[in-house]
Amino acid sequence: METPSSLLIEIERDNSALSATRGKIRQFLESRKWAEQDANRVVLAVDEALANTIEHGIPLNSHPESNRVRINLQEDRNVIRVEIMDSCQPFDPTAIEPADPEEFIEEGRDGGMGIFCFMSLMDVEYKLREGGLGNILVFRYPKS
Amino acid sequence: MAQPILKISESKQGNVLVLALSGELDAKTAPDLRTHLDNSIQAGAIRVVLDCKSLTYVASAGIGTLNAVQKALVQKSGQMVLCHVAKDIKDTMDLMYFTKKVKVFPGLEEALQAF
Repeated sequence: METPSSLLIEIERDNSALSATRGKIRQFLESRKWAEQDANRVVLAVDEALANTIEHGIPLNSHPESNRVRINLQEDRNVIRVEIMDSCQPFDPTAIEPADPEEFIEEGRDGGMGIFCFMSLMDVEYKLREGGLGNILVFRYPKS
Repeated sequence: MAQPILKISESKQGNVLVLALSGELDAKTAPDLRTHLDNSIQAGAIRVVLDCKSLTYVASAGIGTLNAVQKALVQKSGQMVLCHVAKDIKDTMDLMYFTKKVKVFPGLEEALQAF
């Protein structure tokens, strides 16, 4: 039986949601026969993007919906496309210089590598949501 | 809502502190490990082995924690080494250059001999 080629997940902006989200993405990729290393890289990239919006995103208003993030995965012709949509103040991670891993190690920093991780692993596109009402990150990653 | 779980089991092998990690080290659980390690360092531990046999995931927040702890240990003339690191976790550590800073051993015996 053909397994679904897409997965939609909606979560609260709370890092308690990260573990279950990773589990769902991993399960989806396994069902689509993705190799373990590729699956781990997709999971890591999405996890880092979510952790960033959870930790640093500033919701645009107090409406409960503005505290949610939608993750949409679609596999098409052996490429996974992941769309991560939040309702936070505009922030384009592709427009900033990612952290330098050499400096991270040399200085013994305790964080700040999330954007570096997903920018290194994925083909990343940033879009502003219609009316400036949040951010959309699009990751693309080919199956090995 | 499922909670990520990180279990930390502590033992001593001579003057080496061995922490066995089980579960996931992510943005949610990394602060727990940081607190545990900071307390251990304050109590005098400067030689640490992290046994990652049952660690199933690490995010950049977890590696950041280990990176900062390694810095603190080196400043005290100590170090932290790792063993039983799964392939996927090593892949993430390699991405962030962390394996350039910390020694990774196949097993606990070899890790203990690093001191």
